[in-house]
Amino acid sequence: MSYDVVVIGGGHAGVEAAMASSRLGASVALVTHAISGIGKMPCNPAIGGLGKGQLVREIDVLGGWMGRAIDATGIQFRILNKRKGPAVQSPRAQADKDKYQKYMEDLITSTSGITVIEADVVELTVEKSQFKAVVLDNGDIVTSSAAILCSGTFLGGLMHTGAVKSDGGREGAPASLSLSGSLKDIGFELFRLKTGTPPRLLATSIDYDKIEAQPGDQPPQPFSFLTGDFNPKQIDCYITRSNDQTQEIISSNIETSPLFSGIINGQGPRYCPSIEDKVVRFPDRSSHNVFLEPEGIDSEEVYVNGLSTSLSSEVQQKFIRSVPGLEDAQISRYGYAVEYDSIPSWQVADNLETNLVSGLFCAGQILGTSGYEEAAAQGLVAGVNAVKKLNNEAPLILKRDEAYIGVLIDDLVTKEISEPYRMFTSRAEHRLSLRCDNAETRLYSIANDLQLHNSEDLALLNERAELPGKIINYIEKNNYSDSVMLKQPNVTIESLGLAEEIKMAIEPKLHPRSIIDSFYQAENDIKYRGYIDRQRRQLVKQQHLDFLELPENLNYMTLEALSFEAREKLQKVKPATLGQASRLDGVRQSDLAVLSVIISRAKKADLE
Amino acid sequence: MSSFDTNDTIVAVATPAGVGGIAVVRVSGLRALEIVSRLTGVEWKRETESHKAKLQKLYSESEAIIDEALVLPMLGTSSYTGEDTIEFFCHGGNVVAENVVSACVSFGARPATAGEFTRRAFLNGKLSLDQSEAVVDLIHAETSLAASAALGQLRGGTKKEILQIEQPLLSLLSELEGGLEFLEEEHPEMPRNQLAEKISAALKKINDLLLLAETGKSVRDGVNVVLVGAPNCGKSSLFNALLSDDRAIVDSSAGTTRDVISEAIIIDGLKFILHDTAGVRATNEGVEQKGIKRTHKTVADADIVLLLKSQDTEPVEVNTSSPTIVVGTKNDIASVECEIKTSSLEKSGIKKLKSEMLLVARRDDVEKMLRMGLFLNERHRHKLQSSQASLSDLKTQILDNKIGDDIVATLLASTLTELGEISGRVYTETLLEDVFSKFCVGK
Repeated sequence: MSYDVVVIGGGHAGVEAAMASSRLGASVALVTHAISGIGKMPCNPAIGGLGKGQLVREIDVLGGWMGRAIDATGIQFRILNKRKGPAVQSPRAQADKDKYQKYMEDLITSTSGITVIEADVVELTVEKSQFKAVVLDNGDIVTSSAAILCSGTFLGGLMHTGAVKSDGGREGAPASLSLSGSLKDIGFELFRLKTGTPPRLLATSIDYDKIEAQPGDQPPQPFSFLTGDFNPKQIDCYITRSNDQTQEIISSNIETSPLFSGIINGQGPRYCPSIEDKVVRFPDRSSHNVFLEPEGIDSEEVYVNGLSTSLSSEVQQKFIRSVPGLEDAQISRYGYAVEYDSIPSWQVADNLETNLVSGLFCAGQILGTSGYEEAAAQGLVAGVNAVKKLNNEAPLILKRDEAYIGVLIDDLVTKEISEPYRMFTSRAEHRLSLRCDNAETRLYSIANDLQLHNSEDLALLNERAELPGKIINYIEKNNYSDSVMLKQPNVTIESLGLAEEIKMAIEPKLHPRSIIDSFYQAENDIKYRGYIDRQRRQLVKQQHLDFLELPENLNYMTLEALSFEAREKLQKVKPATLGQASRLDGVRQSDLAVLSVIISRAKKADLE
Repeated sequence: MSSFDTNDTIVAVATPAGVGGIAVVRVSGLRALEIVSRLTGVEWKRETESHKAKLQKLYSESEAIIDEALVLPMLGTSSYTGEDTIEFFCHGGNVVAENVVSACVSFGARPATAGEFTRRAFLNGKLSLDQSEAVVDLIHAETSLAASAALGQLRGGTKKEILQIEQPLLSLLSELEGGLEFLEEEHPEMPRNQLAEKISAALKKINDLLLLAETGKSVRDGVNVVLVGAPNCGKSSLFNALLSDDRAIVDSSAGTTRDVISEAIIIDGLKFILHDTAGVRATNEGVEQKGIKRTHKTVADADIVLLLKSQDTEPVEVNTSSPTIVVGTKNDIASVECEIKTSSLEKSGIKKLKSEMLLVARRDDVEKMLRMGLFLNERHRHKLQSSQASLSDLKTQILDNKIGDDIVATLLASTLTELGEISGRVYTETLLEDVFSKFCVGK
C-alpha cells in the first residue's frame, strides 16, 4: 500500500489534515483505531468559546470543516462576552456529539481521495532522516512520502479513576502503546501531559426545576460563511453551583485522587482544572459554577462542565449529589483523567514538520495543545504543509498579525510548553484586528491562494470579504460625518438609518445575515481603526524582527558571545527569525543584539 | 570572545585629542597578541601575564622606532570589551599615538568606528543597554556630579525606578486580561473609576521621574543662563563678575556687546553656561539689530533668564516662559527695588545670585537623583513623555466610558512596551543604533 500522505489518527486534527491534503490532490490514507471514532468528542460536547471561536472562524475561511460540521449538528448557539467588546467576543455552540461524529465520519468516508484503514500504528520507518512508512499492528506496511501524526490522548494513553488505572486513549478505546517506543528510537524526547473529563449524568435523573436554564441566542449565529438559512432546533443548558458540602466531600477524600497521591506524573492544564484542583487551590471559594450541557438533542446523557475529576467512582457519586438539582442524579459514565505522550515543541519547525524526520508532521495534543479547535487548526496547517513539501512549494505559515492560528503555531514552536496549551485572546498581541467578525476579510487572499474551497465557495467568500470595505467607502463618500458618528460606542449603521440606503447602493449578492454581519464588521473596523493604527505603528518596530531570518545551519553552541542559557535554547529550537528568537524564554536582549550582528554579517556575505 | 569577529581586530586612540602627557592606544580582537608581537619585535603569547604592564620599544613596519611605551595586555574575557585587549601608553601628543595606530593597521588591525569598543563590550555581555548609555555619559561628563550620576546609572538605578512604574501596570494588565478570558457571568468588567485610579498612580510616578529628567539634563548638559537687560545696564560686568575674569569687552558706550558671548562656570558641582547678550533697545544699526534678534533666540532656549535692572537705564520686558531672576545692578551707584542687588564693581550680591541660580536650577533634586542612581537622558525622557501622553489619554477615555476592556488592555500593553525600551527589556533594532551612535571613536 502506498500513498502520498498518511494521517495517523482520526480526531479533530486528523480529519482536517486528511481533508486538506486530499483537497490539494494528494492520495491520503487515514489510519485510525475505529471508523466510528472519526471526529469524536471525548470531552466537552461543544465547539468554540473564548479564543477558540476565533480559531474555528479562521479554519472555516481557510477551507477547513469544523465550522460547517458544527453548524450542521449544533443544538445551541451563543456569542460569548457580548458586553466586553468585539475583539474578545467569541461564538460557542453545543454539539449533538453523535451527529457531529457522524458528519465527520461521512465526510471522510465519502471523500474519494481518502482511504480509511482501521488499525493501530506500531512503528514509523525512517531512512536517513526521511520518513518512509508506517507499520501497522497486523504487520502491514503503508508507505508514503509524508505522515501527519495526530495521536491525541492515545499515545501511551493511561486512564485514571481513583486508584484504578487502565491503558486507553479514552473511555472504551485502546491506547497506542508501541508507537512511543518507536518515536524514542528515532530520537524524539517524549514528555507526559494530562487531561481529564467530568462524569456524565442521566438526563432524566436531574431536577431541572431547581436550577436556572440558559437558552441559546435568538437568532442563532452560525460559524461558517457558507451557512445560509439557519434555524437549528436549540435546547437549553442549565447552570447550578457546587457548595460547602461538595467542598467538604472532596477535601476529605482528596487522598483517593491520583492527582494528589502522586500516581499521575503528567502536567494538567491550569486553565481547565479538575474540581479537586480547584478545591485545593482555592480553599476559600467554596462555590464553583457547574454547567449542565446535553450531549445531543435526543441524548440521555448530560455533560457536567466544571466538575472534571479523577476521584474514585464512590466519591464522584457522593459529591455530584451535593450539588443543587443533582440530589438524585445518576452517573452514566464516571469522570477520569488521562495521561499521554507529547513531543516537546522545539522538535518541530514552524511548518509543523519535525526537525528530526523530514516528511513527518505533527498536529494536536502531541504538540502539547488542548482542545478540539487548537487541534483542528494545526491539522489543517499540517495537512496543507505536507503536500506543499511534496510539491516543493513554500509552506503555509500564518503570521501573528494575520490569524490566531499564526499565534498558536508560533507559540508552539517558540514557547516552553509545560502544560496543555489552550488559546486565549490575550495571547494575540494583534487582538484588536484578529476578530471573529473580520475573519473573511483578513484571510480571503490566503484562502484564495490555498484553494481548499471550490471556486463557487471562494467567490462567495470574496463577496463577503469585500463587502465591509465597500460599506465603509460608501459611508465616507456620501456622508463623512456619519463615519465620525460611528466611532461612538452604541452607534450603529442601523441606528443612523443608513442600512437600507447602503444595501440599495451596493446590492450585495449575499445572504441577508451575511449582510448584517458585514455591517457589524464595518462598524467595528471604524470604531477600532484609530487604536489598531496606533498599535500597528508601535508593533511594526518589533515586527520588523520577524522578517530577519537567522541562518539555518548556525551552530549556536560555538557562539560564546551568547549567554549559556540562550545558546542551549537556540540550539534546541533553531528559530527561523530574530522575532521568534526574541520570544524564546531565556533569550536576553544582549543575545538578540549578537544575533542581529550575525544576520547582518550573513547578509553581507550573501551579497559578496 | 565573539567568534563572529574572528578576522576583525580594531584599534583607536582612546584618550581625547589635544596635547597631553600620555596618549592611550587601544587594540582589541583576536589578533591583538599578534599585533603587539610585531609592534614590539618580541613574541607575546597567551601565557603572557595579563594585566601587567611592561615598558617596550615600539617599531613601525619599516622597523623605525616610534616610541618607548608602557604596554598593558588584558587577555581573555576580563577586559573592557570581553576580548583580548592591549593598551599602549604613548609619550607626548597625538602624533606619536597616531603613528602607533598606523603601525597597528599595517599589522592587520582596522581603525575602530565610534563606540565600537563599548559595542563589543555590550555584545560580549559585559554591559547592559542602560549601562552602555551610562558609559557614554561618563565619557562626556564634565563635572564630578555628572560622573557620579553616570556611575549610579551604571549600577542599575534607572532600571529599578522604571520597574516600579511597570510592576503595578503589569499586574493591572494581567487582571484585565484575566477578566477577558472568563465569561462575563463569572467576571464582569472592572469598575471604571478603579481602573482610572490605578492609571493615575502610575502617571504620578512618571511625572516625578520627568522632573528628575530635567535635572539630569542640567547635570549632563549644564544650565543655560541668559543675561538680558537694557543697553548699558551692566550685563557684561555682571557676566565677568560671575566668571571672575575679563572675558567680555566692557565699554560704557551703549551697544558694545553685539554678539552672544558664552562662558561656563561650575557652581556647587553644577555647570552653568552664561550667555551675555546684546542689549535690548530699538536701534537702526544693522549689526546691532542682528545681535538683538539673536538675543531673543537665546532667551527662548534659556533654562534661566537673568533680567538686569539698573537705576540709570529704562527697564525692559522679556517674553519668556523660562524661570526669571530679576537682578539689580550697579548697587554701588543707586539701589533698584528687587530681591537681589548686585555690584560688579564691589563684587557684592554675587554670592546671593549664585545661590538663587542653584535654587532655580533645582540643585536639591540633583541629590535626590544621585540617591536614586538615576541619570535619565533624552531617549529616556522621550519615552517617558510618550508613556505619559498615552496613559493620560487612556485615563480620559476610560473616564468618558468610551472604550471596553479589550482596548484598555491593548493600550496599556503598548505603554508597557514603550517603558520597556528604557531599560532595554523590550528590544528593537533601532534601539541599538540609537544608543551606540552617541559614542566617540576609541570608546
